[in-house]
Amino acid sequence: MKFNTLRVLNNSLIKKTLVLLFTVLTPLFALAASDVIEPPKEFSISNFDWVSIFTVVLILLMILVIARAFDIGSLTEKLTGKTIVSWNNVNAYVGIIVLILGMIGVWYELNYHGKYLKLGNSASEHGSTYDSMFYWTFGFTFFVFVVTEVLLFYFMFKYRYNENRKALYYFHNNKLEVIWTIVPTIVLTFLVLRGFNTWSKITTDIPKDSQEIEVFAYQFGWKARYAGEDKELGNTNFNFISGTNPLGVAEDGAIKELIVELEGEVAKLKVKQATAADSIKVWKAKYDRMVSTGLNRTYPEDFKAVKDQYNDAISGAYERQLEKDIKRKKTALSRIAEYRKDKDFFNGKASDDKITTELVLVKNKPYVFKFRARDVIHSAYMPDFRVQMNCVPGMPTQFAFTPTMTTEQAREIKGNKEFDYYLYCNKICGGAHYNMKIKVTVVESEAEYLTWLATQAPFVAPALPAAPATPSTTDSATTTTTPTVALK
Amino acid sequence: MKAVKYKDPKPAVVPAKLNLWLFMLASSMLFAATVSAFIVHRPDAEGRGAWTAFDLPIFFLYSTIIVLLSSITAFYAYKSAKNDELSQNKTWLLVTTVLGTLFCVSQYLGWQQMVRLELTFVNARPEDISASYVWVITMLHFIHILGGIGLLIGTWIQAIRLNVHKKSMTLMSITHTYWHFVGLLWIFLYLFLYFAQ
Amino acid sequence: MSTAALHVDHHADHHHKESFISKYVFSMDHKMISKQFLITGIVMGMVGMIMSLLFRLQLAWPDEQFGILETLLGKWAVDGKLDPNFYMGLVTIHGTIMVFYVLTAGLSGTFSNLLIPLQLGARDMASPMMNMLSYWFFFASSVVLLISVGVETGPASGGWTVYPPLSALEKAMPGSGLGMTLWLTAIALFIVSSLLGGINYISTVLNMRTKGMSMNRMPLTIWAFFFTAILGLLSFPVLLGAALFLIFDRSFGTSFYLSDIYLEGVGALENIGGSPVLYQHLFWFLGHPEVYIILMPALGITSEVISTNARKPIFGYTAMIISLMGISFLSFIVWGHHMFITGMNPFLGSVFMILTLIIAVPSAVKAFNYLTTLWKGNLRFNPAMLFSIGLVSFFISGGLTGIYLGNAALDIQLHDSYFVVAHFHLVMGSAAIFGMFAGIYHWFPKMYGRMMNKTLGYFHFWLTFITAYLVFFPMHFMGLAGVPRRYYQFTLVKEFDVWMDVNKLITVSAIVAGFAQLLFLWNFFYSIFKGKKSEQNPWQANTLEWSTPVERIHGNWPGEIPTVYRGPYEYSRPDREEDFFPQYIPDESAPEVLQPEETQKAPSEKEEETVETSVFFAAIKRVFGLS
Repeated sequence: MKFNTLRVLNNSLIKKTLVLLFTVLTPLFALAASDVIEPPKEFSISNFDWVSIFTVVLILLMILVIARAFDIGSLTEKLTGKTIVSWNNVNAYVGIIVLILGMIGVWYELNYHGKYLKLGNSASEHGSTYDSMFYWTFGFTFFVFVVTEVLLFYFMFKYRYNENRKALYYFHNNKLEVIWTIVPTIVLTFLVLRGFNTWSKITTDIPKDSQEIEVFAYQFGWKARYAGEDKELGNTNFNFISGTNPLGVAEDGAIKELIVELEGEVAKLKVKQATAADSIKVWKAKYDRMVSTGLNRTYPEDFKAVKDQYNDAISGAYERQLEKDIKRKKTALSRIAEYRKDKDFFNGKASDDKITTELVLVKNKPYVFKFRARDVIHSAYMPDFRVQMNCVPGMPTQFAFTPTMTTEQAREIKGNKEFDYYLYCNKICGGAHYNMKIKVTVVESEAEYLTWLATQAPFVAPALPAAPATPSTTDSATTTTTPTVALK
Repeated sequence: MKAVKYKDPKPAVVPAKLNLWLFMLASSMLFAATVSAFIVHRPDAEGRGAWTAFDLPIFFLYSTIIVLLSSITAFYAYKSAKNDELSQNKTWLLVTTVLGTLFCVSQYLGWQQMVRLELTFVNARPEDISASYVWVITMLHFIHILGGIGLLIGTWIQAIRLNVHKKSMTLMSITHTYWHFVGLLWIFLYLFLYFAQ
Repeated sequence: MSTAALHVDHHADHHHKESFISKYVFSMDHKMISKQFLITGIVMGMVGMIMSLLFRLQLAWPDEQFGILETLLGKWAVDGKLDPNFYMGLVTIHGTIMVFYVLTAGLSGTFSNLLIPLQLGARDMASPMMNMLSYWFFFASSVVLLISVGVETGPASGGWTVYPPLSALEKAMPGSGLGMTLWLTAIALFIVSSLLGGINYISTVLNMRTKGMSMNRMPLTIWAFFFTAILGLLSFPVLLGAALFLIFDRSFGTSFYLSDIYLEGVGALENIGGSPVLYQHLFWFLGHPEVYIILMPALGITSEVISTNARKPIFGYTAMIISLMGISFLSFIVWGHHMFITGMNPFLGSVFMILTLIIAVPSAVKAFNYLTTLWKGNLRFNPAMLFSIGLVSFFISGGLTGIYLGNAALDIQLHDSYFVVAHFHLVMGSAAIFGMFAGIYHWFPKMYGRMMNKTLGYFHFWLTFITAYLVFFPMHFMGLAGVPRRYYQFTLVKEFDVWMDVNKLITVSAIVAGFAQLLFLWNFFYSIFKGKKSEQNPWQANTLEWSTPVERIHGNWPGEIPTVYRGPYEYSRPDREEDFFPQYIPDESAPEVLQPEETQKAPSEKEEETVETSVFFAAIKRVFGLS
């Protein structure tokens, strides 16, 4: 026993000195640090330098030392039988403080950021049903959240350890357990029924006179297609997609161009195939030249490209790739030929379709958005309208809704003159996923919409050569999406 | 070696056997997944004209018959081992192994038949997704059969070394159970593919 | 010869040639394997956390340049600005690591391995060999995944759910090339590991319980591990199926998932008739049970820790088991709630909605039972207890938002928004990781024979708890404002500007949380070597693992395996002076027998009696110098 005591004392002497040193020195270091560097106007990690990192490390070390010190404390407690710090109580009090601060934080957050939430002021008809559904759920869950969290920390405080007390030997209480099985069930049944109604209404109630608009997603942007004079959208197929026909609509002129283009490509590939043996020599010559001249060390990236091509060529991968490409293009050609036989498919309804780079909707007019995707899964997300639907290649989807608030009105309500509705992509789709959006404008009257529509070029304009619809009402927001997408 | 004074509680089931059952459960889930993918996918693809129903190669029927026969022989192998009829046990094991190999040959011929009908794994024509499914399902089952044949050969070797008898039945009963499992699995898969095609 | 004797023989052989490799590397001892799982899990967890900090930096200060990033990541952060493709890669690998490697293998692998034999009274797992393989498959899988981060085209970057066609087409995204191939390899290895482990856990629980350990006397941890293993056994093969189809689509050119695709720079692809949604069905058939595979072990650990430290029986033992059972069963039929807006049949959507909301009932029962266990307890705030209370708090706050997301109508707006991020990071991320911490603090003495520093544990807990809320709570608000997840930066949309301060708060909190984990790491590794020596039963717990000696021996108990006389939660029985009553103490025994020295001495006395001991125990004695 004596030996132990001695050791503790010895150790504690060193450690106490260390604690003292650290506690005294750390603020000094911090002060010194703040003198050395100009305090940044706004805190930013990039302003993090070695001094601040050093400070953080010091703080961590401090905690370590404090922990050691308390350990020594607890040892002395054991030896002397006196309690210096009751960590049990400290934790209980910290728990209560955290609870109170946490609840204040929640309240603050509800007030501070609450106004930015997309709740209330819905811009679509089903949106208000959605919002009321949300409020009900919020009411229940927030109540439960507050009650249970408060109870949790209150119990933590109230029933903290006391040597003189024994816990209640309480195994179960069927009545209680039945109650808290039944009550959530009832509440959930209510929510389920409401949810079921809302969901069915949103997904299945499609007014007969809804206007169809095709919304087309690709890496990384959106296009919309409005019906022209004939009020009907033409057919589409992914095999028809080309530089001049970004949506692949069934329009004979464009298809003919595509066929010529594809045949040309096939011919080119065939030439490459015939001269594949020579190309191996070419790559080999290039490769050897780079190695012999030492260029491979000066331009390692170029050398890597050459080496890859050379390797592909000698392993036969190059030829296999050519063959594959030819086969794919031929399949496309034969499929196109197959479709062209079908006169019902090529009904000419696509010629006057208008492909646009923004969406213009009329207030209080029902719409059905028909979603298509070109390459990978995207998701059309219009939070202001409470609309979201995935766009899946090979699986057309749709969403019906009625906008009820014009862009102007929304700007007024939000007090933001530059506010615009947007349709975002909300399914991970590649590197530029974060910048894939299209402007949505809601106008007051049909006339405004028609004026806008008239400015949009039809797919095949009698006077104009077939060209991709160029946005006439270009604004900076919409054009930002287009440069990343070269449609050829 | 003298026994210890106390004994650890003896497990109710030999752990290896229980593990086998659990493994069979897991691999059934794998087949359940592929089969339900088939069921879910079919109407979807049919709607787009990307599904051809075709008759299964006749060899798959032969495989079914072979697998049924091999189940019977496997049962006799098990029974003979249980009755300590060691030479018969070896014979039955060998017969079952041969039948298993025949099954593999028959499967191979069946796949060849499919290739001849241009029902390849990689769909040369878009309508052949159904063929892709048949390939995946039969191939996955084939891997299980290979495992079964491995077990049979292992048991046979142990039988030659006189390690399979009335008092040492663990390996034999594992092989027996597993072989029935792959057999039943094939029969189920065959019937499923036959009627769902 | 009985199988038990065979078993003993086997160990004896093993012990004879126990070298460094067979003891620490290819060990078949469940305790060593559990430590291997834990340390690999912690290392993977650190990697996952650092990744999250990297992309959090990008989100908080999208326009700043961090020189350090370029030093760390090279071409992925030219001029100190993260590359968008690599950002996606980080998000993907962070998710994969956290979900599979830390919270599935690291949590359930560690504690199932450690506790199933110890709490049930078994010498080892049903099949130690399979158990070892399980770890090494997991290790190989981790290595492959980490290698995939370094490949030239970047790691898999289609989100941890790797939906095709994005993940199936090499040309769709750089990460869908070699990175994705390695991802699939890693996951295939992981599935093998998880199946080997799962088979073993179930088999041990069903088959290897000691005398008196009936199913209704099993601790709730074991029940949780048991159901977890069943879920894994039934759902991981389905993921294997999904991955196989994906591999075929990627490498062989089949079209299970591909249809009607025109790819920039390639042209129209040949594939027709595939269904991308099929993958989602198969994936989420695993994916949803996976959530409970993560959460249930944490809940089990919490039940044990709360009961022990509240010195009070867990309230509603049977209800707890029934709710675990209910959650397990329901988890298989609710996967569709991840797919409400994929254009699925609206009626199917309603069915999934109803089933999903039913799952809230057993979860609510669990939460209320925890609260009642605390009520009128005598709470000792050991770090493990604090982390368990933290778990309950996260479980409630995260679970409640599940009611929004399970509702098909509300999901229209909230799907894939930050609300989802907040929800699952609270309910399965933070809650499960807190369960893991609780387990580590609680069973550290059992694993290493030493104690972790409590005071550091307190700092670790409060810092982590507060910062975790600061990180994830504000995300609810961002989600409700329609901020989509997996966005590389928000500055391109004016409307999202108001969230920049929140983003900064989140990032700073995450960094503080990261530093708090350094305290844990220090505490953990320091205590392994230098921690205070543990007593035999440091928490005065009831369960069987505390009847083993502090020195961890092969075969767990030096003598006979103790018999179990009662349930695991007999705390504060009014008829007893002590506030605990271990499972292995017979009823008639006087309280003095409880002294740990007594139990420790008993075997050595026995050894003198048993003249002819088995080779096994002779070996043990040699190794540990007991004789």
